Amino acid sequence: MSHTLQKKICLLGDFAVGKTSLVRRFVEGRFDDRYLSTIGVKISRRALTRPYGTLNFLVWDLAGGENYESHSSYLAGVAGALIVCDLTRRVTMAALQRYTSQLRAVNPKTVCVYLGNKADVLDRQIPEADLQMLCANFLGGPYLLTSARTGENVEAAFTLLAEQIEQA
Amino acid sequence: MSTTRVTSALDELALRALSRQHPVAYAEISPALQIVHHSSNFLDLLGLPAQPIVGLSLTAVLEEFIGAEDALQQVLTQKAADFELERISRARPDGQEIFIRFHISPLEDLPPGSGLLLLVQDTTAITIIEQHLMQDRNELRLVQMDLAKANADLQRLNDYKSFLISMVAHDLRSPVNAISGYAELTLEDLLPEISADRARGLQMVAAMSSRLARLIDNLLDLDQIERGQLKLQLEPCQPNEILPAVVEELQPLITSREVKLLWRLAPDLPSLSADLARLTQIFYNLLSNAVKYTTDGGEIRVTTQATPENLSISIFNSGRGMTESQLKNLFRLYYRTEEARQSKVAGTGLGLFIVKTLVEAHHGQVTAESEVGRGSTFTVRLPRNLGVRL
Repeated sequence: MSHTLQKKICLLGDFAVGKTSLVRRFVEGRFDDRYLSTIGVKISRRALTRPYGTLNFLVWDLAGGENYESHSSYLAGVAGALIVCDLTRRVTMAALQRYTSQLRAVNPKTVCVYLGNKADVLDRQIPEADLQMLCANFLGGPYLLTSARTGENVEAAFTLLAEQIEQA
Repeated sequence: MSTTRVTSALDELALRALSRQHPVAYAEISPALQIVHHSSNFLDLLGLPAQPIVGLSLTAVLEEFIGAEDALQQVLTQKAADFELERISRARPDGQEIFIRFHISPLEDLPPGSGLLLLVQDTTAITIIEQHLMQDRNELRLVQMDLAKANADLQRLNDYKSFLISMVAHDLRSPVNAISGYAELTLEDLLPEISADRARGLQMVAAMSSRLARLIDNLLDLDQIERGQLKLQLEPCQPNEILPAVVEELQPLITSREVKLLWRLAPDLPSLSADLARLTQIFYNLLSNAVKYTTDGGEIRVTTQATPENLSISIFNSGRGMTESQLKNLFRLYYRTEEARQSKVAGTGLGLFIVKTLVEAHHGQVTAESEVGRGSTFTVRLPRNLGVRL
């Protein structure tokens, strides 16, 4: 018998790494080139079909950078997180560990999937090997290279997060 | 009217005034996290449909609290003072985006576990202003990052260019010096025996290879300057002696151009402490420019003067002169005026840049004055008592 689950997930990462674009691609299936800073939180929904039934994702798109840091209440009850860096800005990779620590301080068992976004851009500052090494040795979670612009691996990223949540 | 009633009325007025700025609504939440009661504006403020919600669970009405049940229990039992969510984006039925602040606290003056008060505030106006500020700041940061990256790329390219120039110049220097030296020796040895045509040919080889050697030296100097490795070896120098020696080196060119050279050397010019080779190079670059850019049959005036603080060396040429904007750019690296580029006068735009750098390394100053059609004067002022910047 199929059943329905509901999980709160969030996207974390520095400003302008493409969190809102990833959500828009996942929820609405489209991409907008304009950069509009997210302030506070925008919550979206999307249902994923899973072998057991339906998984309803409540996706919390949080403001990047220091804009949300004092609001740990946003992170209450988060089952999983996509923690995003921008492959064209190396400094955003260094921040992955900080976001992971902040999230785990509120939810010690939350699962994380790490995304190197803007994979369609050729001028990368972060080689995949560096992200792989960071995730394997320090962050302890899987990673994917994504592009909100082309849609590359966006569906896969949310599906991978669903699998991680189900296995936790 | 009792004091309590007056206070309550004032509170109400204050609440209404505040509410006009930032609309506020409230709801009472039961220990089971169900809505017990709410203000009349609650549904409208949140953009919810006008349907009964009393008795429904908080999370069924407001999905923002899904996942926050444990945190709310902490507030209910007064283990936490409150729970707050700020700047939550919501869409009204007409699609308009609004921003809401939720604040949940225990019901006042009641035992722990009695219930919760949910205050809802519309903070759209202030949040939109904050959003604009944040947008500007983030865009500025992105531009800064792009600029820093472009700067680093340029620096890398510049380093590579310097490396190439330095390598090529070093490799060229020995063969060019050999060509120049042997051309001069051959000319000296064979001059009595060879025809005038052959002698002119050999003179040309000697002059061209000598020019090439100077160009290579300039490139190597530029490399030293860019790497901050310029070093001066100070010794007493007398400009009144150095200048004629430089002119002697340029004499063939001066003669061929039929340029008239006038000397106005101060008779008691004191010596100064400077790097002889570099000072010679400064004078050579300025004098060779003066000869190159003076019209045939023109005039060059070399003047030296002393003041209590400085020695001043001026070189005037009666060339075509320059405009104000050309003068402003004259000492920039690789700068040549449009007229110079279109003329037959060979040049690289290195000479005056090197002059300026060398003069400044001696704590001096070089200036240029010019007027179109009236010639140009370059003046070097060097301190008599030098504290050298290395």
